[in-house]
Amino acid sequence: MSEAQYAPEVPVPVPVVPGPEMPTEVADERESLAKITEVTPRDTRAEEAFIASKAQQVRTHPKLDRAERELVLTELTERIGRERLEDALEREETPPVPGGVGYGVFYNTAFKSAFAQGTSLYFEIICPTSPGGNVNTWLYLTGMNRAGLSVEAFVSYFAQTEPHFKVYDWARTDHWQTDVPFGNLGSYFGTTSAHGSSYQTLGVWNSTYQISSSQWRNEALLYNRAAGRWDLFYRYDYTGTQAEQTGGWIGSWGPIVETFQSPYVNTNRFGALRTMLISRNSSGAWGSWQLLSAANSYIRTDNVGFFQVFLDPNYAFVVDS
Amino acid sequence: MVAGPEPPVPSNDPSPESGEPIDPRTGKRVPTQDMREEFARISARSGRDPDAERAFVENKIEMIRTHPTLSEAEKTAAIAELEERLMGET
Repeated sequence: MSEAQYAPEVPVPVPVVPGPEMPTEVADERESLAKITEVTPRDTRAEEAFIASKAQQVRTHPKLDRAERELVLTELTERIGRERLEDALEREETPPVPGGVGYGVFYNTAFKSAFAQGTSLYFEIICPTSPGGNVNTWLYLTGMNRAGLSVEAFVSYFAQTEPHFKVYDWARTDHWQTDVPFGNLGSYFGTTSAHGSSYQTLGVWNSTYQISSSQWRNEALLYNRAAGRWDLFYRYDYTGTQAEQTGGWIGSWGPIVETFQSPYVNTNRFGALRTMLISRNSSGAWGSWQLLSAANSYIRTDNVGFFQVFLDPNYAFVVDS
Repeated sequence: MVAGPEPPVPSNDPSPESGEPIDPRTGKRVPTQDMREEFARISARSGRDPDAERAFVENKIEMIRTHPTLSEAEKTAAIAELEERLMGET
């Protein structure tokens, strides 16, 4: 329709909301706005960010499955133009730390504090030798045993370099302790099958328990598959209180894929199997190992590109991207 | 899932000298090797990575800020707890 033929009346009823009186007249301001637009310099960075953001929205959309994401990305590429989209993605500025939780399990508040003199976590970390895909910064496969002063004994990836197994001790001021490259862990790697696939795993067991009225102990062990035994590789005794262990937010995460970029694309599979916890009561007696259940925990995902391959609520999961 | 060996439970003996886990079903000590020296030696060779250490902490704060179910008050408390825990870090 030419501009001359255009009548400013719109064929849609004007919005009417209860309360304030809404205008009913329509004015044609196209020419004046076009003039303003003409004198406003183009902001190519903003335009590229807009395009890149659209691609990001598609790649991390929580309700789209893998096939739907591919389909929408194809549509986006067609609509925007491959070259323009690729340029925009290439020049996109990396946000400071888009970090968070790619996928993983958090303990419910009640369960987080449901122990007295000790708590212990066992889980098998699914940890490929290389993260694969577009991982270009850190990515952690970690977990805590609920105690606020316990340790994180975790797999640390950095880009596509050799991963390390590390210990971060929340009870110390010199937090960083163990740091062992994967190449030194040959005896500890095993293969675990789940849902029809085999995964390289590390069996990690970390405990926090009271050893006197004011003293607590953190310890971490790895399952030595070659020798068929547990290897104690870290222990630290310190002063603490039960309130420090059971309260607060630190210690509230079970097995998680902790992320530092977005989106993740084409990575290998990560996850956790056989996640179990055990509690020690106020008399000092340990209960029995229990698989982590959905009643005691919940899944958090920040939608940074990971897909759930499977979830056995909530003691086992595998994700990829 | 293929069942692997059952992990043992921690010792019921809370004394500081208690180094080995005990299986309460049998009362026997679970085979355990003390590998602390070996791991400490390898770790010493790895050296520290200040960038990684900073990112670790920043990410924990980000995990709190973006937590889907914590209230603003709970986030503030959690960040304060984290900062307190990191005070005097060496």
